[in-house]
Amino acid sequence: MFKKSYYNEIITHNNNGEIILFNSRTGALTIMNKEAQEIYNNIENIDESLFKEDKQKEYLTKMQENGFIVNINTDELKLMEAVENIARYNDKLLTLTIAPTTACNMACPYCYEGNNIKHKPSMDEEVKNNLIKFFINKVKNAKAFKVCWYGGEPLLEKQTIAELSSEFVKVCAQLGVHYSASMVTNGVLLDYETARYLKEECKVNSVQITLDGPKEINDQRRLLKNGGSSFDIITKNIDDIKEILNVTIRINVDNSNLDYIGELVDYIINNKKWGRKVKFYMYPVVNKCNECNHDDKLLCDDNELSKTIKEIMGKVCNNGSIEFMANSYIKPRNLSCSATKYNNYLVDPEGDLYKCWSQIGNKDMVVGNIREGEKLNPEHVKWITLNLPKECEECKKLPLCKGGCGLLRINNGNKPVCDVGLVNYKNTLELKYKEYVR
Amino acid sequence: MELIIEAIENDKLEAETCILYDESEGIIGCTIYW
Repeated sequence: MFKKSYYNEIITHNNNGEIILFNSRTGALTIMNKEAQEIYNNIENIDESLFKEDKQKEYLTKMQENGFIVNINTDELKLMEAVENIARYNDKLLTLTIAPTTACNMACPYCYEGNNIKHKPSMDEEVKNNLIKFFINKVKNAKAFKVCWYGGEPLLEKQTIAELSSEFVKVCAQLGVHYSASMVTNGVLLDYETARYLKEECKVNSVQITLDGPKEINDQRRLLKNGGSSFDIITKNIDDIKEILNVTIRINVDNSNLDYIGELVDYIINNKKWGRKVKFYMYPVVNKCNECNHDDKLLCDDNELSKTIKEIMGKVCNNGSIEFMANSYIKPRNLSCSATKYNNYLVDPEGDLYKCWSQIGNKDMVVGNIREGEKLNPEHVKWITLNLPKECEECKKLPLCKGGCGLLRINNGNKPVCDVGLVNYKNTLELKYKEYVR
Repeated sequence: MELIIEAIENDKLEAETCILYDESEGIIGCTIYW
């Protein structure tokens, strides 16, 4: 016996009497024809043994496999909790975000890191050696190991990245562990040769680079330390590396550049024609941590940002280019973010471990170090026991956000942090459908 | 009944990192703005 999933949402109807149905728990999106709807609408009274046609059996199987219907006894909330706990505490996946330096060749006014970092900026030999030992100890039980190079600007320390990557690649090959890496970089030092080296020797396959607007706007916000323009250097580098690495452009948005995002998107898609290997997404500048002190007057209103994202997505979709948007694929997540996962750490240049990237350099937030391993100190326990807020239990969007940003929830007594982007998710799914049938 | 996007298997969701990353989507923010 079956019932409809609690997490089904009708996105739209079309002229053929079909419904476009999304399941937020599984991420499945379907066009359900009238015949399938008949089964779906009567699912609690259906006796499948009476099905005479193979088509009916096929519909039922598809609905079940994609989560649109579930066994009548299934408690989907409990099921998600179980999946979340398995994801949180298993040791099959080890993820390390490694900041080989907290130094940077840029001085962006909204960056929190300059306020956080009061310690030595780069890794010394002892830290590198201890990091390898820490990794070997942790990776023994894993099937996959993922590294994200972070900073500061990680490419100021290419040698460290090369040395550590070489060990990671070697040990993972010996143990049969799948290794992959990505990088968050400002892109200034990411020329063709560097990209090729990262790809071939360090197994980096994806990078995130920030652009904050068309040239004149970007260069007011993304400042090189020597005062020079960053836009031309970064866009030239993207030209040169786009066939080597997958590139995601992050657009940090506040009130001072919100009105210029459309112009930048137009530049990316229509002027540069970088193609589908270069995607982009928008992200608001927010004051998440104590060290974040961006001018409150510049922070975007959630509704304004959602409106802008919706407009841009509509425009991009009309051009047949929705795949250029990195966030056009709406999918569920096991955890609100992996900072709530046990085997997931950020490593700073001194070898201290943290859970969230916004905490780097804030020694009060340390959850261990690479010499002695992680500690179950109060800070660590806060993260790995951060459960879903009670208020979220009846929300149909719960599988998409899992309560929202962990750091904000830890600081607000675990009240839900409803992602502003979820305001638009039905619209985005409708655009996906339109592109599919086009 | 036609699937536009198939259900994601649970083990594939484990690829999440703080910046969500997967092979098809690249890197996106830890909070998603759709």
